[in-house]
Amino acid sequence: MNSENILMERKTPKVVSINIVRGCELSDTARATEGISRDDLVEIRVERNSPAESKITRLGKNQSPTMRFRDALEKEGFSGKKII
Amino acid sequence: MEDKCVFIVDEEILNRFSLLESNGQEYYGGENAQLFFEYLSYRKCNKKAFMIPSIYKKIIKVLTINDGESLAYFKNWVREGDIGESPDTTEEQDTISLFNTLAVLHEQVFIVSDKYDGNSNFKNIPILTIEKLDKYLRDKKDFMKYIQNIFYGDNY
Repeated sequence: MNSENILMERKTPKVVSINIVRGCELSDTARATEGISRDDLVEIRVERNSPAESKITRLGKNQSPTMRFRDALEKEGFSGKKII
Repeated sequence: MEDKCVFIVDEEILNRFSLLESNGQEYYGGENAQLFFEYLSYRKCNKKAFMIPSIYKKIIKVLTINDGESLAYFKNWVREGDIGESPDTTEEQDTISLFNTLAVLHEQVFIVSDKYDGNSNFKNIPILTIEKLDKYLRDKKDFMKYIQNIFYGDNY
């Protein structure tokens, strides 16, 4: 593997975990910092080769968790097929 | 209170979900699977369904590609049931073992699958076929109101 490939591999973000929670499950500090209400749905995403801090996204209208999952399946070529 | 029950799922729910985009006869089942995953996110407790280890591992192996986003979403909703691994047991036996284990730990356990409907080994186990699952979820008025707001807006 040449140095360019190594550099590209290092820079490609990889999703390590996704946790979808309600605002009420976050700490008071996190809710206040991110402007999230107790009823909001929130996605907490951790990526490798990305800044270490978790990415917290409030899911609004037309951003339901399953729509995001469908997009991920489509991007990875699984959409419209049985998984196993 | 209702958040205290837990669910055991198999590959059917994920397959139905992924077939949602096929726009054919599979659409109806896919929509139910989508509603089920939304319901798990909506809950405050027990937000992950359980799966027997042999099926869980097969799915993980397939989804482990690219940037791992599909796998991460799958793991957000489904966890591997802790029943150990034995090469000598069938999926049916593992499912019953997982049910018996979870039934000690939780107030109610449902198996979400069409596979075991009518199977005499499951006669004392609550089974939610995809049709029964649909009714189970649509009877939850607050949840359905939430879904209508998310997908169609407040004035739907």
